[in-house]
Amino acid sequence: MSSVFEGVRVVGAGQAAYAKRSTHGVYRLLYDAGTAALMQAGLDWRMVDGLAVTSFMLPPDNVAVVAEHFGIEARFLFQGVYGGASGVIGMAHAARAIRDGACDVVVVAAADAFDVASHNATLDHFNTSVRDYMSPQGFGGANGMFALHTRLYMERYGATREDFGRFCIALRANALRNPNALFKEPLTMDAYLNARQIADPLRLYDCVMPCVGGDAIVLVSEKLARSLPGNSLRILAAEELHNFPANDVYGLPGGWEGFADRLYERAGCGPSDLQFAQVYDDYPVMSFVQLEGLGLCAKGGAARFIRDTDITVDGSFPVNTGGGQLSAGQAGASGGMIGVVEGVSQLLGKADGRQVKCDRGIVSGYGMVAYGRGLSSSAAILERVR
Amino acid sequence: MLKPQPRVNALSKPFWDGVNEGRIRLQRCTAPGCGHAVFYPRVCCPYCRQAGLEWFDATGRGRVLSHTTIHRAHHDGFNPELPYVFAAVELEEGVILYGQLMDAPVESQSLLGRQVAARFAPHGPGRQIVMFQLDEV
Repeated sequence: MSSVFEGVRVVGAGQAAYAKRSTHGVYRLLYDAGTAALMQAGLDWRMVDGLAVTSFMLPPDNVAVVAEHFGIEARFLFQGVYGGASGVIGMAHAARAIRDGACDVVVVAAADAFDVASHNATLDHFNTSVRDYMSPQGFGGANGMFALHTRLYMERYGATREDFGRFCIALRANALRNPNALFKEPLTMDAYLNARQIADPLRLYDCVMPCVGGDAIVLVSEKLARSLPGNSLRILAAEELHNFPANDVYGLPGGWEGFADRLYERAGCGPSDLQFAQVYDDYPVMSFVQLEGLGLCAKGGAARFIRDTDITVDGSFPVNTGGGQLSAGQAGASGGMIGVVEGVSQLLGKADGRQVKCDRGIVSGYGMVAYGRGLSSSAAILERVR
Repeated sequence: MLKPQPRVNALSKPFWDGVNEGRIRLQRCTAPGCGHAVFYPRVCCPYCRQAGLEWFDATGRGRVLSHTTIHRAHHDGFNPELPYVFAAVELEEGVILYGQLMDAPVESQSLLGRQVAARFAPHGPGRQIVMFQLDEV
């Protein structure tokens, strides 16, 4: 069966240098990440005629101003407003634009330059329901919001702190093989369980570290891809779903459960045909919910899955092979691109030092926290072109 | 330090005026066959998408859906109260409100399903905020 994204190839991925602190702003980070992705593909910025950009710190500017800044006469622009779901969604929109002949070379990028204070300030005014009905009430930021989900998940499915710890420890092991990950020391269960309390039951290593960074991939038409020296990928399927299920804040499915069947049907494959997953990991509980929603394990069964499966790079089913946001750092909206970049790098065979043998993998996103939950979910299945 | 304040507008004023008077006012859908209670304030019912919504007084009673003990505040205005318990509460009318659980134990223990009643505390100039208190068991 032919993909809905026929005629489109992903040909490069790259990152700006991640840092705890940096003088680099969003434009520098977007440029560095985009340059790295283009170079990997054997392209340069002069070829680019489309941009998909996500960045919390970009306003008052927007993606059209980014095009101006870079001197691009753009035939296609997309600005992600779905937080960490935007990376996958931006990729899908770019692919549709190329498929429809609107443009030929699109850089899909995200970047932010956050620290804890600016991260909190952003979230405090993320949208009106958070600003008026959660922040004044003392919600504790994203940590508090996802502590509520974590407690609920633990009670509903019998998951323990150790289960989340196993996940975080495996991601840390993956991060140690990623030079651009900010955490450089192994994580022990003892350190995980006894870390500083943040928002019970969450402790320090359940929470991403806000940082500075940028991530980008490059999509081109299949015709153009044939003239390039390197490997390329096709997008077998991509889905997004927002506000699912409506009016149910604490059902814990997220949108993935709402589109997984359709995603696999359109991709023409199933969960057992995948060799890795790059899931959005702002908090371990949401990664658990994604693994379940995407059909990689049973509903409520993620803790058992993590107990029984080696998810490190050397394992039977690697997850977040670059360490994810939890061990690489969360550069704001780049958190929604870091998994896309890692998945593309793996399938292009460019994941130096942590390469997984793979032909097909899944990447998923999650974002735009509102009245108690993230509203936006996304996922895509990518395949190496042989 | 002043805590974050809500921005009150025409849509949300009935709710915040109610809070200042020690009442929880919610919207309710007036469409036949719907009748859902609605919170946060909307311009239409998010269940049936009809525009007819009327304000009514809720009982202020509910149960704890989930809770967390905040050790690191998102805003310095909350620092003097750390650690405190923050909860998602489902009111009897079926809507979710968030608020601090007054006098709740801060050590890790489950309060899920516990019955609570709304309380009202000073929050800023001319502004009260909703908190919740656990019923005795």
